[in-house]
Amino acid sequence: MASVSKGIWSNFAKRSPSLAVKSKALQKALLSPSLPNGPVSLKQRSSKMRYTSPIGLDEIYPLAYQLLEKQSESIYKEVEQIEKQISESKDKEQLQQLHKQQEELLVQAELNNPEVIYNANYHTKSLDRTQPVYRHFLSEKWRSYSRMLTMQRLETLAVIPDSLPTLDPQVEVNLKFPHNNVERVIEPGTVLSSNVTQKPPSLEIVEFKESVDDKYTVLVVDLDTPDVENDSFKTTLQWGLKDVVLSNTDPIIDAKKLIQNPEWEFVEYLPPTPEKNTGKHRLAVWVFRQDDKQNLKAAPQGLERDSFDIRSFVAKNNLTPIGAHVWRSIWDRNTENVRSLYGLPKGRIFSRFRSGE
Amino acid sequence: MFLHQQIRKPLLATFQQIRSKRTTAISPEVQKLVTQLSVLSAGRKQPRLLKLCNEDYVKHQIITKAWSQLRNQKKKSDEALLNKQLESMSFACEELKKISPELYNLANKKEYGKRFPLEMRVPTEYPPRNIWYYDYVPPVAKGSKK
Repeated sequence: MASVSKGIWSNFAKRSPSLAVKSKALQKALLSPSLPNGPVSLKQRSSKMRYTSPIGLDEIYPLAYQLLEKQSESIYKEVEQIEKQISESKDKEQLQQLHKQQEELLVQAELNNPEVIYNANYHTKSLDRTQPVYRHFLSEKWRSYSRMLTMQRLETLAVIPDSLPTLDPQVEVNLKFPHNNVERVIEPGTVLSSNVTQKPPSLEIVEFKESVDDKYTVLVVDLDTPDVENDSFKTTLQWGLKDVVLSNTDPIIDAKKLIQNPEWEFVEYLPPTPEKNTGKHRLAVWVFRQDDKQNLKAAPQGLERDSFDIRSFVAKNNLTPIGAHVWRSIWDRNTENVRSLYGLPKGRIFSRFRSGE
Repeated sequence: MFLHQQIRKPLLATFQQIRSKRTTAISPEVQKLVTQLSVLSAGRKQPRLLKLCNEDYVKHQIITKAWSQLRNQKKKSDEALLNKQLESMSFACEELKKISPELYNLANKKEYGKRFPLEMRVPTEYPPRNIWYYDYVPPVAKGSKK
């Protein structure tokens, strides 16, 4: 059967091959008016036998496809014009604006391509994040739920304003702990046992703009360390990373990369070990993008982690937060074990009345 | 004893409210259907959801997108046409003003108390089935004399 596509969407001379569906059978199903090999996406044989396409779909689909493809072609012509302008202009601000326009047009050009929609709906884990369309789809999904959830948890747990005044999230931060072989993304605000958090987490920082070798700073702070002298609480820096190089293609910070780049870690990971009767400790993860891919200035190796003033640190280094995460820790039966693993002294036990009084 | 009761009954009846037989227009078959439907939950009354495989679902999305864009284009072209008409109307008015101000003033004369005629039809794209109401009599105002 002949393909529905006769224009730009079947031409991969200039377009990335990741804009097509990988499976040949699925691609054939999407590019022909009816389903020549039956419903490929259905797995069971019985459901394949039972399935019938809606009546009349095969007649309208080619018309709809060709209409949208024509529109896409006209958008690609606009993109070509903008590319010409980019090659001619030298003003920095104008260039930035032109690049922004170009990206928006590239999203519009591929937004109605059925193959792209199929990938964005059903192959979410293997999307090519260098393509503006896929970043657009990912961003829409993130904005519809995870972004709001993160902000709600940060505000109800008072991470904002206890650590930093506010946050305008621009990146998605996915946190995982390597305590077992189960791949589980931690939802913001979860209470985790000290067994889970004894090794440093792996972070995925999903950018929704184009990013090539951008540098990031990551801080993990405990906001509820008891300060007995001042009858208050203080902040402890549990982990500090700087100049972490990430791109759209590889957005993950894990143990393997940290071993390869030991200079990233300016304060080593200290697992949260809350003392008994100090309640749930909030552990906030803050992610910052460094300006113009420059190195961080005021972050010396082995910075004092006790009584850490995160606001002054951020002000000194002129950082703006772009993403955050939070988890909670509480004293449990494994805490002493973790303390001995890291050579820490035995934890205090707090009671309702001070022993000194 | 029976007599006694028979005498007192009408007296009581004056105070009693008698429920009359319901006289509804619904036929018993329809009534049966209504009661059957009222027992069913709202979810089961809705039409069955179409179960599409992933490929067909994407195709369905594409068709709805193309259709909405076509409608959008048509709406825009219609709006442009109406604007063009309005512009040419105002242009004609201006011309009239230049050529003969008297006629222009006459055409734009404000008639106090005269509203937009309610019996006037809304302009449509096609003529109505009943072209003209030949027997139409405008309603007579209350205060007017014949």
